[in-house]
Amino acid sequence: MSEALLVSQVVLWTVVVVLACVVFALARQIGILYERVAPAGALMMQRGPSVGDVGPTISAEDLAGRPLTVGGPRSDRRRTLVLFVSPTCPVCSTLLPVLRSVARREGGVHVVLVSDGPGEHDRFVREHRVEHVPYVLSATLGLTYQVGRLPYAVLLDGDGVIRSKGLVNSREHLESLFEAHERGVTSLQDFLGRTGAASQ
Amino acid sequence: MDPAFSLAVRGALAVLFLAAAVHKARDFAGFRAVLADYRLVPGWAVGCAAALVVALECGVAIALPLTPQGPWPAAGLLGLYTGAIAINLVRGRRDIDCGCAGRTARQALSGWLIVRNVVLGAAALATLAPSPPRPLVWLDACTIGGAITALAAAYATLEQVLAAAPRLALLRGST
Repeated sequence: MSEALLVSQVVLWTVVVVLACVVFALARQIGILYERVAPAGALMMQRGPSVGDVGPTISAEDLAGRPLTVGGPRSDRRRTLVLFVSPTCPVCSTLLPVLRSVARREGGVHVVLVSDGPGEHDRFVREHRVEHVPYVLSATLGLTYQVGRLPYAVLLDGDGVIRSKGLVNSREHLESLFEAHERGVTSLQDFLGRTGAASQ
Repeated sequence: MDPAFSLAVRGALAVLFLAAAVHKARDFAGFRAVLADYRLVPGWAVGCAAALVVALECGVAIALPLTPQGPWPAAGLLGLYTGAIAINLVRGRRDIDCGCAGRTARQALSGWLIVRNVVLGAAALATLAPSPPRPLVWLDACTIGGAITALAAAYATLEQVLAAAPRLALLRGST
């Protein structure tokens, strides 16, 4: 019996050490996750039309000269993502491939790129393979939404109501606009503020 | 080696082989694709080879705790896997799935898999060491049962941790 106790003790300690190593490995992974996956939201500026308002309906022309209306109710009820970019803004270039994948995943979102001023818009569109996305040159749009810095995005729902908006520098920021809309909050900062207050 | 210790190790390895066989049998088509990816078996024989692997794993799982010489086929099978992995590592085909734990826990080939198999094989063979006979009492049943459960759970967790490691490395690298 005492021998069985000894064996049991050795086995127990072995298992404890193995489990401790596994727990350590798990804790490390959680650390990385926590560090990296903390929600990052698009920075919302308190300027221009606010979230929940009906966005302005603006007529403009795309690069090929076709007339296009940005904002207002859409007959197909799809959401519209208006992304303000410029060929001279480096972050915009890194965001366009992301835009393609986000638009594909969010399905049924109508994307409009907006830019203004002189610049190599045609080359920009070709280089980033966004020929199929309407590309509008309109200073009015930027002024209406009071876009100060680029890239700036506004998400409109099917009725033309502004659902979220903000400065988008990364995939997380862009996704946060959709996330904010789905959660029914004005911005992820707002959401984090609320849950932070609730947990205190 | 003490009989209780030996039985615990053999039992844990048997659970491991059984789990591997069940994974492969449940997603047999997936396992065939994985085996074909290893590029070691001619195309026409992949189906037979896949079925043979599953049968061998079941056989090893049964033989390990029940027959005194059970660790030999277990070590042999592990050696076979190690060889297959080593050949593909030498070929530079690191990104194929190892097929260790089904398609849900995809794991790319790496040197770690070889280390793992060697350790498992060595553990199996270590149970062959002669032991002074000792009557097994009720406490041994607790030790063996507890050790098998805990080791199996720890092993499964470790597999998940390792499967997640490359994805986490990606997360860490992206800024």
